[in-house]
Amino acid sequence: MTTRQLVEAVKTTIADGGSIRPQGGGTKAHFLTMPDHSVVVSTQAHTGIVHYHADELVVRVKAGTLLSELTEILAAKGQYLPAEPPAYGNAATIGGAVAAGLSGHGRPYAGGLRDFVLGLRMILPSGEVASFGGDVMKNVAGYDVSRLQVGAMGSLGLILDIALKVIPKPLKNIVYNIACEREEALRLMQQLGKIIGVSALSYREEKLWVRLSGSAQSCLQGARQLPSDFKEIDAGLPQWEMSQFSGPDHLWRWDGKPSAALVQPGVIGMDWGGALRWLAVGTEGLSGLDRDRVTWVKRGLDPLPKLTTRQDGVGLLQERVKRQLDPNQHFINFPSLRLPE
Amino acid sequence: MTPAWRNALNAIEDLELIVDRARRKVYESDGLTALSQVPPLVALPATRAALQAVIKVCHAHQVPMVARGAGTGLSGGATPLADGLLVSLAKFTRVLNVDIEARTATVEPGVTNLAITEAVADQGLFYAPDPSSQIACTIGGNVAENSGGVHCLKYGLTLHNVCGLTILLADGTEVVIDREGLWQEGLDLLAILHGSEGLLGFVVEVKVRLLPQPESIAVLMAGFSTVESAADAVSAVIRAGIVPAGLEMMDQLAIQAAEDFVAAGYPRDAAALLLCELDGNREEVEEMSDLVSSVLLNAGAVSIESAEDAATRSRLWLGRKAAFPAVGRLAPDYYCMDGTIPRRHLAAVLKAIADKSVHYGLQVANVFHAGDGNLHPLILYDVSVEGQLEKAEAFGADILNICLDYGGTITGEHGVGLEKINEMCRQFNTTELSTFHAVKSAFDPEALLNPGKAIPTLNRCAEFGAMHVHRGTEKFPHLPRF
Ligand SMILES: Cc1cc2nc3c(=O)[nH]c(=O)nc-3n(C[C@H](O)[C@H](O)[C@H](O)COP(=O)(O)OP(=O)(O)OC[C@H]3O[C@@H](n4cnc5c(N)ncnc54)[C@H](O)[C@@H]3O)c2cc1C
Repeated sequence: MTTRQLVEAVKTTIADGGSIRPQGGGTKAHFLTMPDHSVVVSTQAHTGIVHYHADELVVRVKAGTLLSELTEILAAKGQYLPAEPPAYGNAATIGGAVAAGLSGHGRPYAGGLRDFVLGLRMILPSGEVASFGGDVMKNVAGYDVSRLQVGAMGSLGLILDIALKVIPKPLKNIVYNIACEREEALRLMQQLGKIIGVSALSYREEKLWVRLSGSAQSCLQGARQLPSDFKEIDAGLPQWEMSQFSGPDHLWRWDGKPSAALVQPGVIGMDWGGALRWLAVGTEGLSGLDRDRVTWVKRGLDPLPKLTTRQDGVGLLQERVKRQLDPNQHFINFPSLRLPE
Repeated sequence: MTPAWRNALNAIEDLELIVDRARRKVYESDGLTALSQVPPLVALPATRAALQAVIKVCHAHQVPMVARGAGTGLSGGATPLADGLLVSLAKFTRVLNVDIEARTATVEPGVTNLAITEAVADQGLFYAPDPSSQIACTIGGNVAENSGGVHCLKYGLTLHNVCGLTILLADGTEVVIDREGLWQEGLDLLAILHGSEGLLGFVVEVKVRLLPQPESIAVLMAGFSTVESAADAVSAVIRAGIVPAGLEMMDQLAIQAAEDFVAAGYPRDAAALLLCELDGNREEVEEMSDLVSSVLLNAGAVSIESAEDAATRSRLWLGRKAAFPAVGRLAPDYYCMDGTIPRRHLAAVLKAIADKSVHYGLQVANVFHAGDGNLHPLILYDVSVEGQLEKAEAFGADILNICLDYGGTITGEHGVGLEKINEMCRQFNTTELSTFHAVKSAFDPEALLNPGKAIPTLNRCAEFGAMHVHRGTEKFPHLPRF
């Protein structure tokens, strides 16, 4: 599908008075919690690599390209996306990953997805095509509108293609785990986070997982500092899948200091060395949540609680940016993820 | 700038106002000295409350404001306005908090870049972005320019190393953007503020990420007989799976100037020189260092020297670090450019620059953040020779256009400021510029912060005559005027 066809689709929807919801594979649609009168404009047919210069650590890729396909293309040159954006399904596209702004296990150590976005081309709410940033590593011309799209959930326009910084894969990755309780896991994460070469610390299904990355030598050196009861796991580190979270309760994300006490209700998993905690809490447990640190992830069986966007100074400023960049609300708003105060 | 405005400023506590012309003159330009304007008044608030009061008074009286850190900026971002207030943040020099556990430091905007590292060095930590002006430039200025340094290939720019900002908007409203965790909810305001050149708000507090000092560091220096082979060697290093902490290139004129100035032991006859820094734990650095040596030799290095001891390492870096002043000895004046290009076009771009050098009759020396494609051509001229400044400026503009023609950008790290405002009209079309204006309106609807800098008005671009078919995709658009 060409840029021109996508522009046509956007313009037609605008003319019909619809509110556009750009969508790739739809694997992250459950983050959109608002009542939905929006019209999907799909990027799924807008696929392919625009250019890939492995020697320069830059790839530009069309938004509808499958995340799995991009990962393979990079792997063929020994490179990868260090932010390890989670797919949450085979249909996941790179455009959707960027719009959702999610990062995987490597987030605290290698950086978040926004750290690797160099530029992008998009269809603005006016229906015009614009390009921000570029294909180069360093670029401070104009405001950083391309990084502003990371996590915007398509609220500021439809992403057409994205230039990303890529990195050579670590020479070696070794994964270990140990069975332990949550409290013990959090304590160990604080301690192990200091080891040079640690590239993931994740807790799930009553196991703490540790990944070491780097040269063979540095992995070895790191492994020597692990308590002796950690087991090496050949299969590597499993990704989080949304299907794992399929209980009756709603799923929430707690985000904060990794060292924060484990007082959140319903912690069923942790990542990012303790800075990210997944909470499965029923409606009755919601009152115990820290409203500043907790955001919506996925619906359970209970009725949906009423959610809002941030209402503090940051929230108001975000809303002003949205209003200026999309004055006629041609695109959906970014999602309301918070419990009201 | 009425008497009522002056009286309101006079009533603010903890505020020094500089009225005396000789003292105001100190602020007439930033690092881009070719542009100057003595500010009508300079405000030096000592507390956040005083700064907030200054902003509110200016807002009430609709007087524009320009923030100034150390004034080392190279694009005229902190150049004063003839009809505005210059607000210096020089008194905000406190390190407010160091959290060793979380590896963050919270500092006021006037703290120098190097002072952050100095404050945490004894804890085995450092702040990674290291612009060569780091002893002088402030963290507030670094955020405003999204500054880089020689180590940003591996460690990223300012943007990648800041996790919280407190800003004061143009009406004095305080907004705290502090990401205690790592998840970003809604629109990424931290991203949009980096590199916004003082147009969106005053940065009044910065929380930076700290990193553990590497256990071991090695520096390799390699000489090449052609620029092409040096450029290919850079690609070969990356192809070998290595992202060095720093990877710098100098051309022959820069090498010779540096040798004459500091005698760093560089190969004088080399057409180009690469400096490669590797860091990590000891075994890893040894492993990488051997690998990079052989890659460089295979790529055609004619000489190679490597060092792990501190004394030799600093000698090898000395020539690169002194490159600007060294080149400065070759002519009374030099003009530092700052474009970025896709690295595969390096040889072609250097050739095009050399041709322009002949055309204008001005010499040019090149130092280059080779790993990330950021060029710093230094144009040599003599301001006392009639017409040379204009020639140097025209040459500079041509270099930026060459960068654009090869798919690059007009500024990698020094910002647009006043200097590159016209070239912005070439890099961006009206649609894109309008988006920038919309962002500005969200933060500063009355355009009181640093007006006239960084983002040209559409009117200005129309007058500049550079509104043109953009990347071949747009038809010549109707030009709205405002
Ligand atoms: C010798 C030399 C070497 C240099 N090397 C490098 C280098 O390696 N890499 C690099 O990236 N740059 C380099 N620079 C450029 C310069 O040092 C950086 O741009 C630096 O970040 C500017 O900081 P400053 O405090 O001097 O800011 P200023 O020059 O005072 O201001 C720069 C801009 O920031 C705004 N500003 C300043 N403080 C604030 C604040 N608190 N809130 C909001 N806006 C603010 C100003 O309005 C202005 O637009 C170099 C400059 C020199 C002179």
